[in-house]
Order: sequence, then C-alpha cells, then structure tokens
Amino acid sequence: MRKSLITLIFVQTYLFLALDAVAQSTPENPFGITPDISQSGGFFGSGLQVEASKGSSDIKANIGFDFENPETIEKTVFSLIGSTSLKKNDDRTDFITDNGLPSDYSIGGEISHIFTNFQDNFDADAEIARILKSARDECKVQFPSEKVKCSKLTGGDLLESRFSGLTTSREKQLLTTNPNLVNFTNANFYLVSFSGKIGEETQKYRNSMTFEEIVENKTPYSLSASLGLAPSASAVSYYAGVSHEISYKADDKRILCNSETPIECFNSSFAEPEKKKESTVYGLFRIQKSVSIGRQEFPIGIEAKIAYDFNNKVLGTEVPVYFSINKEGDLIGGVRFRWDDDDDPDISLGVFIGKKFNLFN
Amino acid sequence: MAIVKVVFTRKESSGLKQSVIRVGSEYLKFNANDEAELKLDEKVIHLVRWYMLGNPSSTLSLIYEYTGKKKTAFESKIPSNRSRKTDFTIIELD
Repeated sequence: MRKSLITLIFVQTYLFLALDAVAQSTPENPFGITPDISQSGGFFGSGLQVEASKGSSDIKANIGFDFENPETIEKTVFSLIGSTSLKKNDDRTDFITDNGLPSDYSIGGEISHIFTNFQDNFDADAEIARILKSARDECKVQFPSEKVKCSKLTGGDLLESRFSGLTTSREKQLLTTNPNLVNFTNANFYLVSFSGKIGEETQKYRNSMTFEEIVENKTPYSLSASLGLAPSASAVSYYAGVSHEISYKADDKRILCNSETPIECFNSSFAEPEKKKESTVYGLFRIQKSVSIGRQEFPIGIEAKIAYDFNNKVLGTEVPVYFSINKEGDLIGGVRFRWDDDDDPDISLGVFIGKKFNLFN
Repeated sequence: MAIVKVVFTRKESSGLKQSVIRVGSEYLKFNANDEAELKLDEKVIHLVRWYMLGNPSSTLSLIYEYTGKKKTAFESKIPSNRSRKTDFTIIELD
C-alpha cells in the first residue's frame, strides 16, 4: 500500500527565542513603516518552527507584521514563511486537502484582511458610564465585604443575577439594548486571504537503459485565495477558497541491474518525476464547543474541510477533531480523519499534536 | 483640572484575533510593544469600552499607568461558547 493507514504524529515546536528577541528589542515598527494617526501595527507571531510528520521533517521560519485600524475594527496581517526539509517526503501532497509543497526549500507569503459591517456607537456612553458608577457605589453598600470586586464591576457584570439589585429595570434595559452590545454580537466579520509559495527541489533518477544518473531542478509553486465569514457571536466560522498547485512526484524506486560484467544493480527511480497539477476548490467549517464531563468543562474544536480537484477529478475530505489543550488553554491536538477518492483511494485516521485550532485564520 | 499622560498596556492571549479598545471617544493605537498613550483629565470618569474577537476563552487585559501609579482597567475573557465579546468599565485618575 502506498501509504500507511494509521499515520501522522505532528510535532510542532515553536522556538520563538531568536526572532522574538529581535521583535522585543525593536521599539518601533522595524520595517520603517511608521504608524499613522489611524493605524497601529507591530510584529506578531514571529518565530522559528519545527514540524515533523511521518517521513518528513521541516524547519520553518516565519516573520509577520500587522496593521490595525481600531476605528473600523479592521486588521491586515502580512506574513512571510521560509522553510526547508530535513528529510524528503514525496507523499506529502497525496491528500488534496493538504497544504504545502514537498520541496527542499520554499518561500511563501500571505496577506489577510479582516473587516466587519459593525459600526461603533457613542450615543449612550455618558448614560452607561453614570449607571456603572452608581452601581459600583450601591454595590459597596449591599456587599460591604466585597469592596474590591465592587470597584471593578464592568457593564457585563451588571447583567448577572447576583448584581441585579444594583440597577433599575430601566437601566438594565438600557444596558441590554445598547447598540454596541447588540450590533457587535450580530455583526458579520469577513476574512479575505491570499497566499503564494514557491520552492526549489532537486530530483534524481536514472536512465533505465544506460543507468546514467540524471539530476533535475524543479520549481513547485502554489497560489490560493479564500473568503471567510463569522456571522454571529457563536463560535463558528465558514470559509470557501480556491488553490492552484504545481508539484513534482518522484517515480517509485525499483531495483534494476545491468547485463554487463560485473553486474551492477541500482535502487532508484527510473523515470522523470511526474508533474502534478491541482486546481482545487474547497469549503471549510470550524466550530468550537464546550463539553461537560462531570463538573468540568472541556473545549473541543472541529474542522470539516471538503475539497474537489478539477484537474484530476478527485474529491477529498479532512476532519480534524481537537481536544488536547496546552497550558495556555489553546486546542493543539486531537485525531484527524482524511479520505480522498483518487485512483488509489486514500484513507487515514491518525493523531496529531502541535497545530493550533483557530476559528479565524 | 490637570491633564496627565497615561500609558496603556494591553495583553492578549494567543487565541485572540482582534481587539479594539477606546477610552472616551479615543481609540487606543498600540505600538509594537502593545503600548498606547493618551492625555486624560484627572478627577473625571472615563468610559473604557473594548471589543474582542477570537477563539472561546481568549483573554484581553488592560493596564494603565500615570504619575507613577499602575492599575488594571479590566481583565476580560470571551465566554466558552462564543467568538466575541464587548464590555465596558470606567476609570478615574485620582
């Protein structure tokens, strides 16, 4: 069988030391782009990353910077990623739901933009500030032993049943119907993303007649675009996207021997690497829920991706279920099911760890 | 009424995609070190409103410092079954 049925332990270690040290020591935007009156920006997520899977291991260095426009709640994120393989894995692009080029070296870039139809509203500010100040004073009277808590009450706290006696019903109604609360909860958030990657890899094979070794340099690349939607305050997001990828797959290795004396045998590929062209559309759904077990709540994240490759007429799906969390509470691992209906249908069920679940990326 | 320089520092957890904080009618424009400055009136109540978008349970906090005093304006967390949160508090520079 071309691939194992049970696969894939990903170990993804973030080594933030080197590039983050640079980021920490740089007081202003290091790219010479000074934030203007409506924008602010800075480094994010710079780091070095090692990713390993069965049959391959990569080192990736990424650098990113972002620009925010707080007045419109918009954000633009740029990132550059360079990677190199420590060990080659020709199977890496066998699943059409995969991203990534099986190249020796690659460099890629991504730009993503998040925006919303929500508009901030200032009309009720003075009134809700007065309500909160008055409620804090009343709290200190009603709960004299909790003065510290009372002095930190927020608008949201006033809607808890415990503090219901601190406001009048009219004030409570003002808080719950405040346009900033209502409209932000129901607003649509959109995410647009474009990315590209180009690589360089050396492919070796032998002429099956002369056994001469032939070395060819190939340049795989990929381009993709996606549009995402987070339609409500529920923890769900939807994405649709397209991607185009050119990659090269080495022919399977065989052992052939010459007919001369002394006989020499070669364990090698004996055909040119196959050029693979994939033009894929995909849909993606993410949801995060809390599951109660006994008295404890545990987060669970599900991502369902379905993709169709028009070039090769292949349908594929991938469903990772995240349930393993790190000490910061991020979902970072779980089990993953993958399937596609290629000529040689692939199915895989495995565990993974190291990839963070994120509703918005 | 005196006006004092206030330095705000935000802390975002890794699952937070976007956050916006405004003090009165001014949006905080954070630099690469997650710091922003405003000049505010003393002895006046200032409304601080914030918006968060991100994974459930993501957190955001805001610390402010003025005339040698350091205080926490708020510590906020997106509920476990939600992807966004908005809330407000008040601060007074005494």
